Amino acid sequence: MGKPNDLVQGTLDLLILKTVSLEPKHGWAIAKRIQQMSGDVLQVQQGSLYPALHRLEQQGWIKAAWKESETGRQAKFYSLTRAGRRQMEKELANWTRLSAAIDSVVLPLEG
Amino acid sequence: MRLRRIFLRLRSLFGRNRVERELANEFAFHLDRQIEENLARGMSASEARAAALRELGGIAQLQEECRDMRRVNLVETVLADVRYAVRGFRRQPGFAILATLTLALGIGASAALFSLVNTVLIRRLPFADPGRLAMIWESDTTGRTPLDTPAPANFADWKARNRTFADMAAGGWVTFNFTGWGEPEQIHGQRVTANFFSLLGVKPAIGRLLAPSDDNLQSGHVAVIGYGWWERRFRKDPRVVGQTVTLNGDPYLIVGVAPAGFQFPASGAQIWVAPGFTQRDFRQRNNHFLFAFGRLKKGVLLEQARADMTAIARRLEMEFSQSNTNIGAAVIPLREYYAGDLKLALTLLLAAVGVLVLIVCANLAHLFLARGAARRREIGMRAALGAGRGRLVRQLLTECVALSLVAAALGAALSTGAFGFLARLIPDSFPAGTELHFDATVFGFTAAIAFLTAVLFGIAPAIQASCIDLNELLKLGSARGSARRFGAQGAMVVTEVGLTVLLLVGAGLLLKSYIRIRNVNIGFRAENLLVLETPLPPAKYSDLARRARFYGEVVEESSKLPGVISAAYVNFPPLTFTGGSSCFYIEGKPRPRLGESPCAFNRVATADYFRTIRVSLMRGRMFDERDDAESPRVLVINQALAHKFWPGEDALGQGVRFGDGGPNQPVYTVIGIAGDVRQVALNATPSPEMYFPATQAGPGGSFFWPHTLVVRTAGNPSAPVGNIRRAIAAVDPNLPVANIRTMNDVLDVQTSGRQTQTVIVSAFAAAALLLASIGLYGVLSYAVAQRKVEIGIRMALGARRGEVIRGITGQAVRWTAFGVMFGLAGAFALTRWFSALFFGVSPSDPFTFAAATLLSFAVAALASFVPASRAASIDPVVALRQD
Repeated sequence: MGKPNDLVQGTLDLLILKTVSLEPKHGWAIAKRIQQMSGDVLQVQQGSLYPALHRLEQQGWIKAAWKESETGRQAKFYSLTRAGRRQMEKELANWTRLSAAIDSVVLPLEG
Repeated sequence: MRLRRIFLRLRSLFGRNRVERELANEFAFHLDRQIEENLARGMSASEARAAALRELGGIAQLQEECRDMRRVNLVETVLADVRYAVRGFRRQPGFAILATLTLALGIGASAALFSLVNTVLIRRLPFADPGRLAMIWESDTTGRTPLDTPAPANFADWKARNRTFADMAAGGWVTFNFTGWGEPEQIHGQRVTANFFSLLGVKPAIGRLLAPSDDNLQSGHVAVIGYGWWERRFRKDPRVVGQTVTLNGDPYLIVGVAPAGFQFPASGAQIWVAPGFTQRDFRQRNNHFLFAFGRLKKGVLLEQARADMTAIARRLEMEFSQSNTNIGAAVIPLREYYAGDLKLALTLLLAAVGVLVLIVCANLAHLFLARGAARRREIGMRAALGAGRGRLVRQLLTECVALSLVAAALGAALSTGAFGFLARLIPDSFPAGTELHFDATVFGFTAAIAFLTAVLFGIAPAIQASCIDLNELLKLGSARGSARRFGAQGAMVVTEVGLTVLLLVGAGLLLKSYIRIRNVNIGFRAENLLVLETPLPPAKYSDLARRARFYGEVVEESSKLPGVISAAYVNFPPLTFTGGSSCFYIEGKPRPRLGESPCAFNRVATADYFRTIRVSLMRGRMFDERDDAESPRVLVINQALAHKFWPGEDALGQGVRFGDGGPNQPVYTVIGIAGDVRQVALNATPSPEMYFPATQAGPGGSFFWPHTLVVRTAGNPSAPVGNIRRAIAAVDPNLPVANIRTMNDVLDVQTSGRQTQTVIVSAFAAAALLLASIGLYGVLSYAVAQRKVEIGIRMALGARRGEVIRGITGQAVRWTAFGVMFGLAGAFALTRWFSALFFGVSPSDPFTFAAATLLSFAVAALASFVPASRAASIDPVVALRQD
């Protein structure tokens, strides 16, 4: 199973959950959004997104529906489920704690 | 949410086409959007497409990953592998059938034996909380004699003083003469304490079982009858409850019927009566005839109960030194009581079946290795098309498991065919019935064995087949392989031969034991001897003269019948029932210490007994009509007794006294010395034995009265049965005739367990020999086929036929020699553990070891003959032109 470069799996999950939390999106849009938001910092290969999407769907955190896209073509739209929202909040909290902890170790004390 | 997940998985599995289409569409959509964007950035059409593909990554792999995420991939690939395996086996039906049959043999044999183990050691006994039940026997603290039946007074003290048992119950065997209901009948029964049934926790079929109030005579004699007897004698009439029947002349009220199949602690009882014992009975310390059992208090360990009982027995030894010196108490858990004797035999049989399964696995591994070699190109193709090594191993193992499961189903069906035969090993006393069942436990075991064997025989071929060097494979034009592989194959042949030798030695030792025991000198002639029982009701026959008249008339009338040579009455003929002992004091010798006075089996017989069963009289005379109630008391002893108590002296004319040995007791004079007879068991050396004339009052009560008629016939011993019945009825029409059998039947019963074990292990050994020879044959044939060119070149260079044959057979002999060596060493180390199962043969019997060796080499020579002659007939020209 290929893992996204330089990105722990949980983090990719969090990015996906956050991205679809506002409105249903299809895979390409999710990929674009993550790229835009993170700029060049996170090298997410587009392809690695799909296994993650399928896994999250299997876990019941996101659900999929075929709908007409902005170009008029049918596309698979992913949206957050209620369980997915809980999961996202949990992971967000974890992330905040983790990054705060890392900050306190690596950042020089000021003042 | 859980439901949704299952729904998704099911959809992936069954709506596979739709899911696949969606997966394709999803990726196509992504690709197209990226291409559009790239075009918008000003790339050319081909550039835009290439860039989009690059950015997305390998679509096929990604899609496979998505499928993996849905986790149905596993199920799907297994299904695909099974389909593939079935197709493969269909192409080679011969291979599939041979492999399936071999495996079915191994799995079936283990399933059958396991169901025996399951019945005897695992299945629940049909009592309430059986784990807390234990038999309690008297033991000999010096360890000289085996466990004994307790005396009533000892039981009463155990029950009153112990702190580890919730309750104890006891019973004793009785024989009843059932009259006043059509034909008189002899039935065996037990007189029991009233808590007998409640302590075991069994429920009545109809009516009630015994209640505490039944322990005193106020409610009269009550009886519970056995289900079998109720069925046979009363045609299951429920109105029998509440009826009064006559047993030994006394009225008994039937209060209920025991559940079907109930028996405890041994088979044979058809009726249970209470009150079983009086307060006077419970003061007896010199008569040891009870069986006793107890239920441990909750949470009490076996060791605690044993310590408790040992302490009580030690106190009783001090309080009642006259009767209890050297008497201890043994607590035997119920399961051990039933299975104790069988454990070693079961261990041997399980070990044998384990060895057989290993040989089966080795053989299948051969088959699959050879098949793998033939399939190198097919597997190479799959590897070249991208199948990973793990995937290949999985696929090959799936084939093995599929085959194994089919074989397990077949083997399970076959195993039930052996149930009847194996059930002969279950003791009659076993309470849960003496039949084997294919229950859930056996099913689980069979399935587990199927998987285990599949992995065992499949893993090596699978790994080897998957280790494919594509370059090497593509370079090789033909199926010509390298000779490297023979290392593994040779090791497997050696293993097979070694294991086979192990089984051959085991079977040989058992067979020799069986032959030895059937030919043991029993001291009398068993053929053409009929045995039947006529229990005399004590009330009617309490008078010695009346008994003597009865015996005399029956013996005389029977002897006159056509086909009858002679007849005699005895209490316990050899090998049927141990009977009982009487202890004595020898005149003119110092009185022995308490608990150490000599004892010997007490036999009472009529004058023609020795002549009828053909026991030789060594010295003196047998008693005859001179020895009657008025004449001096006499006895005949056996050689064992003479040697033990008058070593180096003449026993003839010596006197002994019984009872307390005091001057009030009459002196019995030894008038003859008879040859030893195997009384207790074929494999037990004869113990001291005394014979008293039925016409004199001997030591001991009605228990020792002769009640067994033995008849020597000229021809078929069963022929005169009808006439004998009529002769007995003419003397006493109210006397039932029971337990009619020939002495050969008695011997068969003695050896049937041994015979069954011998047949099983011999069958395993034969199967092993066949499998090992097939294995050897297969490997050699394969080797010859692989080395065709090499052999062709050798022959072209002048090698002679004989040299080629020697080359092949030499290989076979080397492998066999190694195998035999390991096998003999293993047998030497292992057989001693089972020496208790052998008789008259040492566990390292050189004859058996040599025979196993010879047989192995002979079969190996046979198996290598065909491949060797095939090699010798190779035409160099044809062989070299083949490529």
